[in-house]
Amino acid sequence: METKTIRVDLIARVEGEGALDLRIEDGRVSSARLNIFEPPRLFEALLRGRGYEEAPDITARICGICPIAYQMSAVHAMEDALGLQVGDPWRALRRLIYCGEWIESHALHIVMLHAPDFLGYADAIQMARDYPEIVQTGLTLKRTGNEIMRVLGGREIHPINVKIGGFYRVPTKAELAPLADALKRAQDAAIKILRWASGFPFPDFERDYEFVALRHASEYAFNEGRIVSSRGMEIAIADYDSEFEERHAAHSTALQSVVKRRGSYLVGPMARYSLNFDRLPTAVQALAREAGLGSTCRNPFKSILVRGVEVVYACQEALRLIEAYEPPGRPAIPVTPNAGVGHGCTEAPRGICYHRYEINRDGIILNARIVPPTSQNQLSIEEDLREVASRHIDAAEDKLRDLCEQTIRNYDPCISCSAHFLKLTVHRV
Amino acid sequence: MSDERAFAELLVIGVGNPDRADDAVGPLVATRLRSEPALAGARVIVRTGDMLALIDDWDSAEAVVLIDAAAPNTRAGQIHRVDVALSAPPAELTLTPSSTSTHAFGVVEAIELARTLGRLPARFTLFAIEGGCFEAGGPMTPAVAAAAAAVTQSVLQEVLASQGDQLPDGVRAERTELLA
Repeated sequence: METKTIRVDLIARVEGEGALDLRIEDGRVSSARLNIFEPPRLFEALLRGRGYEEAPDITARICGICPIAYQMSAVHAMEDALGLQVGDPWRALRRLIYCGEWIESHALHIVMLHAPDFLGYADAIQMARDYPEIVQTGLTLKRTGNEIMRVLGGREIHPINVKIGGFYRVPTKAELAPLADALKRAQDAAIKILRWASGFPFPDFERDYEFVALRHASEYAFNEGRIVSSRGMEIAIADYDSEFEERHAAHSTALQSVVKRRGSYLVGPMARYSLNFDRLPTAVQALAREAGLGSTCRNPFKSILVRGVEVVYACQEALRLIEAYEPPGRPAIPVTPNAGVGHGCTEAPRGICYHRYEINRDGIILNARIVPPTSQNQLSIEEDLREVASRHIDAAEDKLRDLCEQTIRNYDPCISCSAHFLKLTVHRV
Repeated sequence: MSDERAFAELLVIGVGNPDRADDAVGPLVATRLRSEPALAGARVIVRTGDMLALIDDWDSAEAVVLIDAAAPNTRAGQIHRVDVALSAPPAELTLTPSSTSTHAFGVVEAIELARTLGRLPARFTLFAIEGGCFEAGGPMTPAVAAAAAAVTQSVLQEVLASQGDQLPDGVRAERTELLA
């Protein structure tokens, strides 16, 4: 029996540390396992005993790329526990800061991390030699997103201005005005990048995923809505546990989420887009179609286009929110702690991020639960890898390895969040 | 003594996480330099994440001094000085964070991307200090703390030697005296 092993010590351009173990027996893929070996980070445990008001700032530390997602899910879950409804203009400001995170996170992934795969470059530095203008455009776009986060969040990495009941400080109209100017330029930049990416060679690959995302009555969802799926699920955020469960897999320090009765599912840009296409403005829908997308996208390699569409949307939405903004008379609604259980679920750039907190009458956190997007997508990533490897079983080892890495990067996985390097090992037996 | 226009084009960057033992050496040196009268007028910043943003940071600078911790290679506290404007940091110098850390873009990647895009300042010196411990909440290794003091002095002396001609004669003399 001949055994062949390909080893890649590090898959670059992902956030986090993990490994892929691909086993091929008798010419077929027998297993594809995403091994996440990052030590557990224990955020849920360290939240216990802390004050309810600390949750947004502590959870923001889970990720340097998507801290807003954690802050937003935490703040909404806490407000749910406290029976607090926070309306405009704080609601609009929270939507605006989320636009900032989507723009910076997606722009980083599209141009700096994912595009080199399609054009055959090892990294963005090499790509920049042939596409300097595109890379500059991507950096400008990312900077605009970061600037929104800085103005509203106090700083772009691990912002510190989100508060239960509103914000610690709200911006003046004059402080938002420069963002509007930058966003107008960013919107053009986003359209340029979407059109550029639409010319990439995309593998002919689709899977019948169960998409899961938030759906709002009238908006492309960020912070509010019901959890829906492409297989008929429609539940309140508070009912998350009735449909989903986390399981431990021996090869991963991150828990893996499944839909209880069906198994794997997919969250993130493709799910969001496919379940909410009708919530996008007509002009954005037209750009999506121009880029070659339908109202549903099942080709994970085309997730780069969906991200591009979402960046255009986030720029437009941010502009709309800034133009409509009237500062409130106070930065936040007063909050009185009480005992309760609260649930929050918001749309991180990589998909839904669910939080549940139990607090006592003094507002001390008794229990915390956090389900990040990448842990929800782990099984889908493994299934994609199995399928991609099966279709290219006879490919040269380098080609197979590159395809597997690209398949993982389709997800823009944030392994740091879910539990971090990716090592790819292919065993041919 | 101070001339606010002095060193207006100089940017000093300390990179690292102040809460991770020896990774704090970049921010520590930057913080000391910020309060140095001899360097008054220079822009001094600390970056703890998102190294791509460094490219925007140094866009308006003519000269950059960047201080960062490096992964252990020889011994804790070993100082490496690299004239980045002339050549890429050597491969054996693993800065933190880098492509082998949990961040996709580190200092070296930001430098090389800027070089490719023509956005690397003409004068750019990197001081990398090898660390021995990067544990969260851990204390700084004594050898690294000693290296921080040495690098602080080196930066001051280099800046005054190489760019002191930007200062009025009297101010230059006063600042040089401060370092004596």
